[in-house]
Amino acid sequence: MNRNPPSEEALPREFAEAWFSRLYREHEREILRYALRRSAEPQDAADVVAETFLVAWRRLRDVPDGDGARLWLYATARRVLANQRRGLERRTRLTERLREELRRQVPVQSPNEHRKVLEALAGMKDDDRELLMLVGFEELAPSEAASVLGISAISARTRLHRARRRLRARLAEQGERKQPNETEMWEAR
Amino acid sequence: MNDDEIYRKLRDADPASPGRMACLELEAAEAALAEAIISRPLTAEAPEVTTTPWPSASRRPRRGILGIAGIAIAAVVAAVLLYSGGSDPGARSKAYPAELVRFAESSPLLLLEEPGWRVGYANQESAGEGELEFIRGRKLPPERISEGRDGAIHGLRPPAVRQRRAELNWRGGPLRPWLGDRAASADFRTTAAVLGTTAEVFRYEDGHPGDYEFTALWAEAGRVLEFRAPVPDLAAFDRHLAALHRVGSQRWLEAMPASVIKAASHGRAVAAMLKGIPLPAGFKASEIPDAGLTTDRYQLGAAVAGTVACRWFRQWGEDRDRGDEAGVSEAELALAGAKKWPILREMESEGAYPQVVEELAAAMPSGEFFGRPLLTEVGPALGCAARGIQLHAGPAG
Repeated sequence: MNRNPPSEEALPREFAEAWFSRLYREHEREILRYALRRSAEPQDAADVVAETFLVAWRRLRDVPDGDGARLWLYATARRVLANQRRGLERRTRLTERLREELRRQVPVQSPNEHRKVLEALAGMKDDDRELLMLVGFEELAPSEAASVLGISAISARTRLHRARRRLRARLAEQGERKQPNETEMWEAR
Repeated sequence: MNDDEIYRKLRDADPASPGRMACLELEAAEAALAEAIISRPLTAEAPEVTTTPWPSASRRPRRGILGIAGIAIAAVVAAVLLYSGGSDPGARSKAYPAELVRFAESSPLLLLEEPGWRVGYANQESAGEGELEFIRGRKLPPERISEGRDGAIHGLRPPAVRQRRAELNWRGGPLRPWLGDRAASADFRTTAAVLGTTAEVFRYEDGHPGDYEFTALWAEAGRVLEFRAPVPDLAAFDRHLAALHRVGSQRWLEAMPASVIKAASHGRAVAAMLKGIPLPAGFKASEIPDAGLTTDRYQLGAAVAGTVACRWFRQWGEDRDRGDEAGVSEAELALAGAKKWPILREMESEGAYPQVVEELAAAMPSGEFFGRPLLTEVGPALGCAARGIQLHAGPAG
Protein backbone atom coordinates (compact mmCIF):
# COMPACT_ATOMS: atom_id res chain seq x y z
CA MET A 1 0.00 0.00 0.00
CA ASN A 2 1.29 3.40 -0.84
CA ARG A 3 0.94 5.53 2.25
CA ASN A 4 2.07 8.67 0.51
CA PRO A 5 -0.68 11.17 -0.18
CA PRO A 6 -1.32 11.16 -3.91
CA SER A 7 -1.33 14.84 -4.60
CA GLU A 8 0.58 17.96 -3.73
CA GLU A 9 -2.20 19.29 -1.56
CA ALA A 10 -1.42 20.11 2.04
CA LEU A 11 -0.57 17.07 4.09
CA PRO A 12 -3.30 16.47 6.69
CA ARG A 13 -1.68 16.72 10.07
CA GLU A 14 -3.37 13.64 11.46
CA PHE A 15 -2.09 11.65 8.51
CA ALA A 16 1.38 13.06 8.95
CA GLU A 17 1.49 12.30 12.65
CA ALA A 18 0.30 8.75 12.22
CA TRP A 19 2.71 8.07 9.44
CA PHE A 20 5.64 9.70 11.17
CA SER A 21 4.93 7.80 14.38
CA ARG A 22 5.07 4.57 12.50
CA LEU A 23 8.25 5.58 10.70
CA TYR A 24 9.85 6.55 13.99
CA ARG A 25 8.70 3.42 15.77
CA GLU A 26 10.03 1.18 13.04
CA HIS A 27 13.33 2.86 12.33
CA GLU A 28 14.47 5.16 15.13
CA ARG A 29 16.60 2.53 16.81
CA GLU A 30 18.29 1.65 13.55
CA ILE A 31 19.22 5.28 13.01
CA LEU A 32 20.34 5.65 16.59
CA ARG A 33 22.59 2.64 16.25
CA TYR A 34 23.90 3.97 12.94
CA ALA A 35 24.73 7.27 14.60
CA LEU A 36 26.28 5.71 17.70
CA ARG A 37 28.65 3.70 15.54
CA ARG A 38 29.87 6.86 13.86
CA SER A 39 29.84 9.49 16.57
CA ALA A 40 32.91 10.50 18.50
CA GLU A 41 30.81 10.89 21.64
CA PRO A 42 27.68 8.84 22.31
CA GLN A 43 25.59 11.92 23.06
CA ASP A 44 26.30 13.33 19.61
CA ALA A 45 24.23 10.49 18.18
CA ALA A 46 21.15 12.12 19.66
CA ASP A 47 21.62 15.13 17.41
CA VAL A 48 21.94 12.92 14.36
CA VAL A 49 18.75 11.06 15.22
CA ALA A 50 16.84 14.26 15.92
CA GLU A 51 17.97 16.00 12.78
CA THR A 52 17.35 12.95 10.60
CA PHE A 53 13.79 12.54 11.82
CA LEU A 54 13.18 16.26 11.73
CA VAL A 55 14.08 16.10 8.05
CA ALA A 56 11.71 13.18 7.65
CA TRP A 57 8.94 15.06 9.43
CA ARG A 58 9.35 18.06 7.22
CA ARG A 59 9.72 16.04 4.05
CA LEU A 60 7.29 13.22 4.62
CA ARG A 61 6.30 13.25 0.99
CA ASP A 62 9.87 12.43 0.02
CA VAL A 63 10.20 9.43 2.32
CA PRO A 64 9.73 6.26 0.28
CA ASP A 65 7.45 3.49 1.32
CA GLY A 66 8.40 0.15 2.78
CA ASP A 67 12.02 -0.81 3.08
CA GLY A 68 13.01 2.19 1.02
CA ALA A 69 12.25 4.33 4.06
CA ARG A 70 15.05 2.71 5.99
CA LEU A 71 17.58 3.38 3.23
CA TRP A 72 16.30 6.93 2.84
CA LEU A 73 16.79 7.51 6.55
CA TYR A 74 20.30 6.06 6.46
CA ALA A 75 21.20 8.31 3.55
CA THR A 76 19.77 11.31 5.37
CA ALA A 77 21.58 10.42 8.57
CA ARG A 78 24.78 10.09 6.60
CA ARG A 79 24.46 13.62 5.33
CA VAL A 80 23.50 14.96 8.74
CA LEU A 81 26.56 13.27 10.17
CA ALA A 82 28.77 14.71 7.43
CA ASN A 83 27.48 18.18 8.22
CA GLN A 84 28.04 17.57 11.90
CA ARG A 85 31.64 16.62 11.25
CA ARG A 86 32.15 19.69 9.12
CA GLY A 87 30.77 21.78 11.92
CA LEU A 88 27.78 22.81 9.85
CA GLU A 89 25.09 21.07 11.82
CA ARG A 90 23.41 22.77 14.66
CA ARG A 91 22.54 21.12 17.91
CA THR A 92 18.88 21.16 18.54
CA ARG A 93 17.00 21.73 21.72
CA LEU A 94 14.97 18.65 20.97
CA THR A 95 17.69 16.34 22.10
CA GLU A 96 18.58 17.46 25.57
CA ARG A 97 17.07 14.45 27.23
CA LEU A 98 18.29 11.82 24.80
CA ARG A 99 21.76 13.35 24.83
CA GLU A 100 21.87 13.10 28.57
CA GLU A 101 20.70 9.49 28.60
CA LEU A 102 23.26 8.47 26.01
CA ARG A 103 26.02 10.31 27.80
CA ARG A 104 25.10 8.64 31.03
CA GLN A 105 24.45 5.11 29.80
CA VAL A 106 26.64 4.37 26.80
CA PRO A 107 30.20 3.35 27.64
CA VAL A 108 32.81 5.23 25.66
CA GLN A 109 35.36 2.46 25.78
CA SER A 110 34.96 -0.74 23.83
CA PRO A 111 36.30 -3.97 25.23
CA ASN A 112 39.95 -4.48 24.43
CA GLU A 113 39.40 -7.41 22.13
CA HIS A 114 37.25 -5.29 19.84
CA ARG A 115 39.43 -2.24 19.70
CA LYS A 116 41.72 -3.85 17.14
CA VAL A 117 38.88 -4.18 14.66
CA LEU A 118 37.66 -0.65 15.31
CA GLU A 119 41.14 0.71 14.97
CA ALA A 120 41.57 -1.03 11.66
CA LEU A 121 38.27 0.39 10.49
CA ALA A 122 39.13 3.88 11.68
CA GLY A 123 42.34 3.80 9.70
CA MET A 124 40.63 3.02 6.42
CA LYS A 125 39.61 5.46 3.74
CA ASP A 126 36.22 7.01 4.40
CA ASP A 127 34.47 5.35 1.49
CA ASP A 128 35.82 1.91 2.27
CA ARG A 129 34.99 2.21 5.93
CA GLU A 130 31.46 3.40 5.34
CA LEU A 131 30.74 0.62 2.92
CA LEU A 132 32.08 -2.00 5.28
CA MET A 133 30.12 -0.56 8.16
CA LEU A 134 26.86 -0.45 6.20
CA VAL A 135 27.27 -4.10 5.28
CA GLY A 136 28.92 -5.33 8.45
CA PHE A 137 27.07 -3.33 11.09
CA GLU A 138 23.83 -2.23 9.46
CA GLU A 139 23.72 -5.57 7.63
CA LEU A 140 22.66 -4.02 4.36
CA ALA A 141 23.01 -5.91 1.12
CA PRO A 142 25.67 -4.39 -1.15
CA SER A 143 22.93 -3.06 -3.44
CA GLU A 144 21.23 -1.38 -0.47
CA ALA A 145 24.51 0.13 0.69
CA ALA A 146 24.96 1.40 -2.84
CA SER A 147 21.61 3.13 -2.61
CA VAL A 148 22.58 4.82 0.65
CA LEU A 149 25.90 5.96 -0.76
CA GLY A 150 24.47 7.04 -4.08
CA ILE A 151 26.69 4.74 -6.12
CA SER A 152 25.91 1.89 -8.49
CA ALA A 153 25.45 -1.62 -7.16
CA ILE A 154 28.29 -2.82 -9.35
CA SER A 155 30.56 -0.17 -7.98
CA ALA A 156 29.53 -1.07 -4.45
CA ARG A 157 30.40 -4.73 -4.96
CA THR A 158 33.78 -3.88 -6.44
CA ARG A 159 34.61 -1.46 -3.68
CA LEU A 160 33.36 -3.81 -1.01
CA HIS A 161 35.62 -6.55 -2.26
CA ARG A 162 38.55 -4.13 -2.12
CA ALA A 163 37.56 -2.83 1.30
CA ARG A 164 37.35 -6.32 2.78
CA ARG A 165 40.76 -7.11 1.40
CA ARG A 166 42.19 -3.96 2.96
CA LEU A 167 40.57 -4.60 6.30
CA ARG A 168 41.89 -8.13 6.31
CA ALA A 169 45.38 -6.82 5.56
CA ARG A 170 45.14 -4.20 8.29
CA LEU A 171 44.05 -6.75 10.85
CA ALA A 172 46.91 -9.01 9.88
CA GLU A 173 49.38 -6.13 10.08
CA GLN A 174 48.21 -5.04 13.48
CA GLY A 175 49.11 -8.32 15.05
CA GLU A 176 51.01 -7.36 18.09
CA ARG A 177 50.90 -3.59 17.86
CA LYS A 178 50.08 -1.63 20.95
CA GLN A 179 46.41 -0.72 21.24
CA PRO A 180 45.81 3.03 21.00
CA ASN A 181 43.41 4.97 23.08
CA GLU A 182 40.01 4.65 21.44
CA THR A 183 39.30 8.34 21.63
CA GLU A 184 42.51 9.13 19.79
CA MET A 185 41.51 6.57 17.25
CA TRP A 186 38.12 8.15 16.48
CA GLU A 187 39.39 11.65 16.62
CA ALA A 188 42.05 10.76 14.10
CA ARG A 189 39.43 9.92 11.46
CA MET B 1 40.40 -15.04 7.16
CA ASN B 2 37.43 -15.42 4.80
CA ASP B 3 34.64 -12.94 4.19
CA ASP B 4 32.32 -14.48 6.76
CA GLU B 5 35.00 -14.21 9.41
CA ILE B 6 35.56 -10.57 8.56
CA TYR B 7 31.89 -9.83 9.03
CA ARG B 8 31.75 -11.81 12.23
CA LYS B 9 34.62 -9.79 13.64
CA LEU B 10 32.81 -6.62 12.66
CA ARG B 11 29.59 -7.74 14.30
CA ASP B 12 31.44 -8.71 17.46
CA ALA B 13 33.06 -5.28 17.66
CA ASP B 14 29.85 -3.41 16.89
CA PRO B 15 29.68 -0.48 19.33
CA ALA B 16 25.89 -0.57 19.02
CA SER B 17 25.31 -4.29 18.94
CA PRO B 18 21.86 -5.61 19.90
CA GLY B 19 23.28 -6.82 23.19
CA ARG B 20 24.69 -3.45 24.12
CA MET B 21 21.55 -1.65 23.06
CA ALA B 22 19.43 -3.97 25.16
CA CYS B 23 21.21 -2.64 28.25
CA LEU B 24 20.10 0.92 27.60
CA GLU B 25 16.95 2.50 28.92
CA LEU B 26 16.19 5.10 26.33
CA GLU B 27 12.51 4.62 25.64
CA ALA B 28 11.28 7.66 27.53
CA ALA B 29 13.85 9.96 25.97
CA GLU B 30 13.14 8.56 22.53
CA ALA B 31 9.41 9.07 22.99
CA ALA B 32 9.99 12.63 24.17
CA LEU B 33 12.05 13.30 21.06
CA ALA B 34 9.30 11.98 18.79
CA GLU B 35 6.76 14.18 20.54
CA ALA B 36 9.00 17.18 20.25
CA ILE B 37 9.50 16.62 16.52
CA ILE B 38 5.79 16.22 15.91
CA SER B 39 5.18 19.44 17.78
CA ARG B 40 7.28 21.28 15.22
CA PRO B 41 5.62 22.88 12.23
CA LEU B 42 4.88 20.47 9.44
CA THR B 43 6.30 22.17 6.43
CA ALA B 44 5.95 20.40 3.14
CA GLU B 45 8.85 22.26 1.65
CA ALA B 46 11.70 22.70 4.01
CA PRO B 47 14.62 20.93 2.42
CA GLU B 48 16.91 23.83 3.09
CA VAL B 49 16.48 23.36 6.77
CA THR B 50 17.85 19.90 6.64
CA THR B 51 21.41 20.07 5.57
CA THR B 52 21.78 23.76 5.43
CA PRO B 53 24.55 25.64 7.07
CA TRP B 54 21.93 28.34 7.15
CA PRO B 55 23.44 31.52 8.40
CA SER B 56 21.73 31.94 11.67
CA ALA B 57 22.10 28.24 12.46
CA SER B 58 25.69 28.57 13.43
CA ARG B 59 25.92 32.18 14.27
CA ARG B 60 24.53 32.71 17.69
CA PRO B 61 26.73 31.53 20.50
CA ARG B 62 25.56 28.57 22.46
CA ARG B 63 23.86 29.54 25.60
CA GLY B 64 22.52 28.02 28.74
CA ILE B 65 24.13 25.58 31.04
CA LEU B 66 22.76 22.32 29.81
CA GLY B 67 24.15 22.12 26.35
CA ILE B 68 21.57 24.45 24.99
CA ALA B 69 22.44 25.01 21.39
CA GLY B 70 21.87 28.04 19.26
CA ILE B 71 18.29 28.40 18.42
CA ALA B 72 17.55 30.25 15.30
CA ILE B 73 17.48 28.10 12.25
CA ALA B 74 15.75 28.77 9.07
CA ALA B 75 14.30 31.81 7.64
CA VAL B 76 15.50 34.89 8.62
CA VAL B 77 13.37 37.63 9.85
CA ALA B 78 14.96 39.83 12.43
CA ALA B 79 13.27 42.81 13.83
CA VAL B 80 13.51 46.03 11.94
CA LEU B 81 13.35 49.47 13.30
CA LEU B 82 12.44 52.52 11.39
CA TYR B 83 13.30 55.88 12.72
CA SER B 84 11.17 58.81 11.89
CA GLY B 85 13.91 61.18 12.94
CA GLY B 86 14.07 63.50 15.91
CA SER B 87 16.32 63.29 18.89
CA ASP B 88 13.76 62.36 21.48
CA PRO B 89 12.42 58.91 20.85
CA GLY B 90 9.53 59.51 23.16
CA ALA B 91 8.50 62.80 21.67
CA ARG B 92 6.18 61.40 19.06
CA SER B 93 5.11 58.16 17.57
CA LYS B 94 7.21 56.62 14.88
CA ALA B 95 5.54 55.53 11.70
CA TYR B 96 5.99 51.86 10.92
CA PRO B 97 5.02 50.26 7.65
CA ALA B 98 2.18 47.79 7.76
CA GLU B 99 4.47 44.79 7.27
CA LEU B 100 6.44 45.76 10.35
CA VAL B 101 3.29 45.98 12.37
CA ARG B 102 2.22 42.57 11.06
CA PHE B 103 5.59 41.20 12.09
CA ALA B 104 5.21 42.64 15.55
CA GLU B 105 1.73 41.27 15.90
CA SER B 106 2.82 37.81 14.93
CA SER B 107 4.93 37.85 18.08
CA PRO B 108 3.42 37.64 21.57
CA LEU B 109 4.12 41.40 21.96
CA LEU B 110 5.84 40.89 25.29
CA LEU B 111 8.61 42.93 26.82
CA LEU B 112 10.63 42.53 29.98
CA GLU B 113 10.03 45.85 31.65
CA GLU B 114 12.54 45.88 34.46
CA PRO B 115 14.86 48.80 35.09
CA GLY B 116 18.02 48.52 33.02
CA TRP B 117 16.77 45.72 30.78
CA ARG B 118 16.39 46.06 27.02
CA VAL B 119 15.93 43.90 23.94
CA GLY B 120 19.24 42.46 22.74
CA TYR B 121 17.95 40.95 19.55
CA ALA B 122 14.80 39.59 18.04
CA ASN B 123 14.56 36.72 15.65
CA GLN B 124 11.66 35.07 13.97
CA GLU B 125 12.03 31.67 12.40
CA SER B 126 8.57 31.61 10.93
CA ALA B 127 5.21 33.21 11.44
CA GLY B 128 4.63 31.16 14.57
CA GLU B 129 8.10 30.77 15.99
CA GLY B 130 10.62 33.26 17.26
CA GLU B 131 12.69 34.53 20.11
CA LEU B 132 13.58 37.70 21.95
CA GLU B 133 16.73 38.21 23.93
CA PHE B 134 16.70 40.62 26.84
CA ILE B 135 19.92 41.95 28.29
CA ARG B 136 20.95 44.28 31.06
CA GLY B 137 23.94 46.54 30.64
CA ARG B 138 26.35 46.29 27.76
CA LYS B 139 26.42 43.49 25.22
CA LEU B 140 27.48 40.18 26.70
CA PRO B 141 30.89 38.78 25.74
CA PRO B 142 30.78 35.63 23.61
CA GLU B 143 30.96 32.23 25.24
CA ARG B 144 33.31 29.47 24.14
CA ILE B 145 31.52 26.51 25.58
CA SER B 146 32.93 23.04 25.52
CA GLU B 147 31.78 19.86 27.11
CA GLY B 148 34.35 17.72 28.83
CA ARG B 149 34.40 13.97 28.62
CA ASP B 150 32.99 13.86 32.11
CA GLY B 151 30.03 15.88 30.90
CA ALA B 152 31.15 19.05 32.65
CA ILE B 153 30.54 22.29 30.81
CA HIS B 154 33.49 24.63 30.43
CA GLY B 155 33.81 28.17 29.14
CA LEU B 156 30.55 29.56 30.46
CA ARG B 157 30.23 33.20 31.32
CA PRO B 158 30.51 33.90 35.05
CA PRO B 159 27.15 33.82 36.82
CA ALA B 160 27.01 37.59 37.28
CA VAL B 161 27.43 38.07 33.54
CA ARG B 162 25.10 35.24 32.60
CA GLN B 163 22.42 36.71 34.79
CA ARG B 164 22.36 39.83 32.66
CA ARG B 165 20.53 37.90 29.99
CA ALA B 166 17.10 36.30 29.59
CA GLU B 167 15.23 34.95 26.62
CA LEU B 168 11.67 34.53 25.53
CA ASN B 169 10.73 31.94 22.93
CA TRP B 170 7.43 31.29 21.24
CA ARG B 171 6.58 28.21 19.22
CA GLY B 172 3.56 26.48 17.76
CA GLY B 173 2.21 23.17 18.97
CA PRO B 174 1.17 21.66 22.25
CA LEU B 175 2.66 22.49 25.62
CA ARG B 176 2.87 18.99 27.00
CA PRO B 177 5.98 17.72 25.18
CA TRP B 178 7.90 20.77 26.25
CA LEU B 179 6.92 20.22 29.86
CA GLY B 180 8.10 16.63 29.67
CA ASP B 181 11.36 17.66 28.11
CA ARG B 182 12.13 20.34 30.64
CA ALA B 183 11.05 18.17 33.55
CA ALA B 184 13.60 15.60 32.52
CA SER B 185 16.40 18.09 33.09
CA ALA B 186 15.01 19.74 36.20
CA ASP B 187 15.61 19.15 39.87
CA PHE B 188 12.83 21.42 41.10
CA ARG B 189 9.42 22.31 39.73
CA THR B 190 6.81 24.82 40.75
CA THR B 191 4.27 27.17 39.24
CA ALA B 192 4.10 30.93 38.96
CA ALA B 193 1.63 33.54 37.84
CA VAL B 194 2.49 35.20 34.58
CA LEU B 195 0.37 37.47 32.41
CA GLY B 196 -2.86 36.34 33.99
CA THR B 197 -2.19 32.66 33.64
CA THR B 198 -0.13 30.02 35.41
CA ALA B 199 3.25 28.95 34.12
CA GLU B 200 5.07 25.75 34.91
CA VAL B 201 8.47 26.66 36.27
CA PHE B 202 11.49 24.38 36.20
CA ARG B 203 14.88 24.79 37.75
CA TYR B 204 17.60 23.09 35.79
CA GLU B 205 19.74 20.66 37.65
CA ASP B 206 23.43 21.38 38.17
CA GLY B 207 22.78 24.83 39.65
CA HIS B 208 23.81 25.97 43.06
CA PRO B 209 22.91 28.85 45.37
CA GLY B 210 23.48 32.13 43.56
CA ASP B 211 23.75 30.43 40.18
CA TYR B 212 20.61 28.77 38.89
CA GLU B 213 18.79 28.69 35.60
CA PHE B 214 15.01 28.66 35.59
CA THR B 215 12.58 28.31 32.75
CA ALA B 216 8.85 28.96 32.68
CA LEU B 217 6.45 27.54 30.11
CA TRP B 218 2.87 28.38 29.44
CA ALA B 219 0.38 28.11 26.63
CA GLU B 220 -1.15 31.12 25.01
CA ALA B 221 -3.33 31.40 21.94
CA GLY B 222 -2.31 28.02 20.57
CA ARG B 223 1.38 28.42 21.05
CA VAL B 224 3.95 27.67 23.70
CA LEU B 225 5.77 30.50 25.39
CA GLU B 226 8.96 29.93 27.30
CA PHE B 227 10.84 32.45 29.38
CA ARG B 228 14.24 31.38 30.53
CA ALA B 229 16.84 33.13 32.63
CA PRO B 230 19.91 32.47 34.73
CA VAL B 231 19.20 33.94 38.15
CA PRO B 232 20.60 33.77 41.67
CA ASP B 233 17.35 32.35 43.08
CA LEU B 234 13.68 31.72 42.47
CA ALA B 235 12.69 35.12 43.83
CA ALA B 236 14.74 36.81 41.12
CA PHE B 237 13.08 34.66 38.50
CA ASP B 238 9.65 35.54 39.88
CA ARG B 239 10.58 39.21 39.57
CA HIS B 240 11.41 38.66 35.92
CA LEU B 241 8.08 36.96 35.33
CA ALA B 242 6.21 39.76 37.05
CA ALA B 243 7.97 42.25 34.80
CA LEU B 244 6.85 40.57 31.59
CA HIS B 245 4.22 42.87 30.15
CA ARG B 246 2.15 42.80 27.03
CA VAL B 247 2.45 45.98 25.02
CA GLY B 248 1.08 47.39 21.80
CA SER B 249 2.81 46.81 18.52
CA GLN B 250 3.99 50.41 18.38
CA ARG B 251 5.74 50.20 21.70
CA TRP B 252 7.08 46.75 20.93
CA LEU B 253 8.68 47.96 17.72
CA GLU B 254 10.15 50.96 19.48
CA ALA B 255 11.87 48.59 21.88
CA MET B 256 13.65 46.73 19.11
CA PRO B 257 17.41 47.22 18.93
CA ALA B 258 18.91 49.73 16.57
CA SER B 259 21.47 47.22 15.33
CA VAL B 260 19.05 45.95 12.76
CA ILE B 261 18.88 47.35 9.33
CA LYS B 262 16.24 49.85 8.54
CA ALA B 263 13.73 48.40 6.17
CA ALA B 264 13.72 51.57 4.18
CA SER B 265 17.41 51.23 3.42
CA HIS B 266 17.22 47.67 2.16
CA GLY B 267 18.02 48.63 -1.42
CA ARG B 268 20.91 50.81 -0.41
CA ALA B 269 22.35 48.16 1.88
CA VAL B 270 22.10 45.53 -0.85
CA ALA B 271 23.84 47.78 -3.35
CA ALA B 272 26.66 48.37 -0.90
CA MET B 273 27.05 44.68 -0.21
CA LEU B 274 27.27 43.87 -3.92
CA LYS B 275 30.36 46.00 -4.28
CA GLY B 276 33.44 43.90 -4.92
CA ILE B 277 31.43 40.87 -6.05
CA PRO B 278 31.61 39.80 -9.71
CA LEU B 279 28.07 39.41 -11.04
CA PRO B 280 26.78 37.02 -13.68
CA ALA B 281 25.63 38.56 -16.94
CA GLY B 282 22.19 40.07 -16.60
CA PHE B 283 22.15 39.92 -12.81
CA LYS B 284 20.01 42.56 -11.13
CA ALA B 285 20.00 43.55 -7.48
CA SER B 286 16.24 43.15 -7.53
CA GLU B 287 16.76 39.38 -7.78
CA ILE B 288 17.83 39.35 -4.14
CA PRO B 289 14.69 38.50 -2.25
CA ASP B 290 13.48 41.18 0.05
CA ALA B 291 11.84 39.35 2.90
CA GLY B 292 9.90 42.47 3.70
CA LEU B 293 11.31 42.91 7.15
CA THR B 294 14.77 41.66 6.72
CA THR B 295 17.17 41.86 8.44
CA ASP B 296 20.41 42.30 10.24
CA ARG B 297 23.63 42.49 8.29
CA TYR B 298 24.56 38.83 8.59
CA GLN B 299 21.21 37.66 7.32
CA LEU B 300 21.10 40.22 4.57
CA GLY B 301 24.69 39.41 3.65
CA ALA B 302 23.76 35.76 3.30
CA ALA B 303 20.88 36.73 1.03
CA VAL B 304 23.13 38.89 -1.14
CA ALA B 305 26.15 36.59 -1.39
CA GLY B 306 23.96 33.50 -1.56
CA THR B 307 21.86 34.81 -4.43
CA VAL B 308 24.91 35.77 -6.44
CA ALA B 309 26.63 32.46 -5.71
CA CYS B 310 23.51 30.48 -6.64
CA ARG B 311 23.34 32.33 -9.94
CA TRP B 312 26.98 31.50 -10.68
CA PHE B 313 26.41 27.85 -9.81
CA ARG B 314 23.38 27.80 -12.10
CA GLN B 315 25.43 29.22 -14.97
CA TRP B 316 28.19 26.74 -14.23
CA GLY B 317 25.81 23.78 -14.44
CA GLU B 318 24.03 24.97 -17.55
CA ASP B 319 27.22 25.81 -19.40
CA ARG B 320 28.81 22.58 -18.40
CA ASP B 321 25.86 20.63 -19.79
CA ARG B 322 26.07 22.68 -23.00
CA GLY B 323 29.79 22.16 -23.28
CA ASP B 324 30.46 25.88 -23.00
CA GLU B 325 33.89 25.81 -21.44
CA ALA B 326 34.26 29.58 -21.38
CA GLY B 327 31.07 29.93 -19.32
CA VAL B 328 32.21 27.19 -16.94
CA SER B 329 35.57 28.85 -16.47
CA GLU B 330 33.99 32.23 -15.91
CA ALA B 331 31.78 30.86 -13.13
CA GLU B 332 34.62 28.94 -11.51
CA LEU B 333 36.83 32.00 -11.58
CA ALA B 334 34.12 34.20 -10.11
CA LEU B 335 33.46 31.85 -7.21
CA ALA B 336 37.12 31.07 -6.66
CA GLY B 337 37.37 34.70 -5.63
CA ALA B 338 34.57 34.41 -3.07
CA LYS B 339 37.09 34.44 -0.27
CA LYS B 340 37.70 38.07 -1.17
CA TRP B 341 34.09 39.20 -1.35
CA PRO B 342 33.85 41.99 1.22
CA ILE B 343 30.50 40.98 2.64
CA LEU B 344 31.66 37.39 3.19
CA ARG B 345 34.74 38.67 4.95
CA GLU B 346 32.54 40.74 7.19
CA MET B 347 30.35 37.74 8.01
CA GLU B 348 33.22 35.40 8.83
CA SER B 349 33.38 36.18 12.49
CA GLU B 350 29.69 35.54 12.96
CA GLY B 351 28.99 32.27 11.25
CA ALA B 352 29.81 29.56 8.75
CA TYR B 353 28.07 30.83 5.64
CA PRO B 354 31.24 32.27 4.02
CA GLN B 355 33.11 29.06 4.64
CA VAL B 356 30.35 27.04 3.02
CA VAL B 357 30.40 29.20 -0.11
CA GLU B 358 34.15 28.75 -0.37
CA GLU B 359 34.05 24.99 0.19
CA LEU B 360 31.42 24.57 -2.50
CA ALA B 361 33.35 26.80 -4.88
CA ALA B 362 36.49 24.77 -4.31
CA ALA B 363 34.61 21.65 -5.40
CA MET B 364 33.69 23.07 -8.82
CA PRO B 365 36.62 21.60 -10.77
CA SER B 366 35.79 18.08 -9.62
CA GLY B 367 32.02 18.55 -9.78
CA GLU B 368 31.63 16.54 -6.58
CA PHE B 369 31.18 17.45 -2.96
CA PHE B 370 31.92 14.68 -0.50
CA GLY B 371 31.18 12.14 -3.15
CA ARG B 372 27.90 13.63 -4.28
CA PRO B 373 27.12 15.70 -7.36
CA LEU B 374 28.03 19.24 -6.48
CA LEU B 375 24.84 20.93 -7.55
CA THR B 376 22.65 18.65 -5.48
CA GLU B 377 24.61 19.92 -2.48
CA VAL B 378 24.71 23.55 -3.47
CA GLY B 379 20.94 24.05 -3.56
CA PRO B 380 20.17 23.17 0.03
CA ALA B 381 23.49 24.42 1.36
CA LEU B 382 23.07 27.94 0.03
CA GLY B 383 19.29 28.07 0.07
CA CYS B 384 19.07 28.60 -3.69
CA ALA B 385 15.46 27.48 -4.04
CA ALA B 386 14.41 29.85 -1.28
CA ARG B 387 16.06 32.59 -3.26
CA GLY B 388 14.10 31.65 -6.35
CA ILE B 389 16.99 29.96 -8.15
CA GLN B 390 16.53 26.38 -9.26
CA LEU B 391 19.62 24.32 -9.92
CA HIS B 392 19.52 21.31 -12.19
CA ALA B 393 22.10 18.67 -11.62
CA GLY B 394 22.11 17.91 -15.35
CA PRO B 395 23.29 14.77 -17.11
CA ALA B 396 26.77 14.99 -15.65
CA GLY B 397 25.45 15.38 -12.14
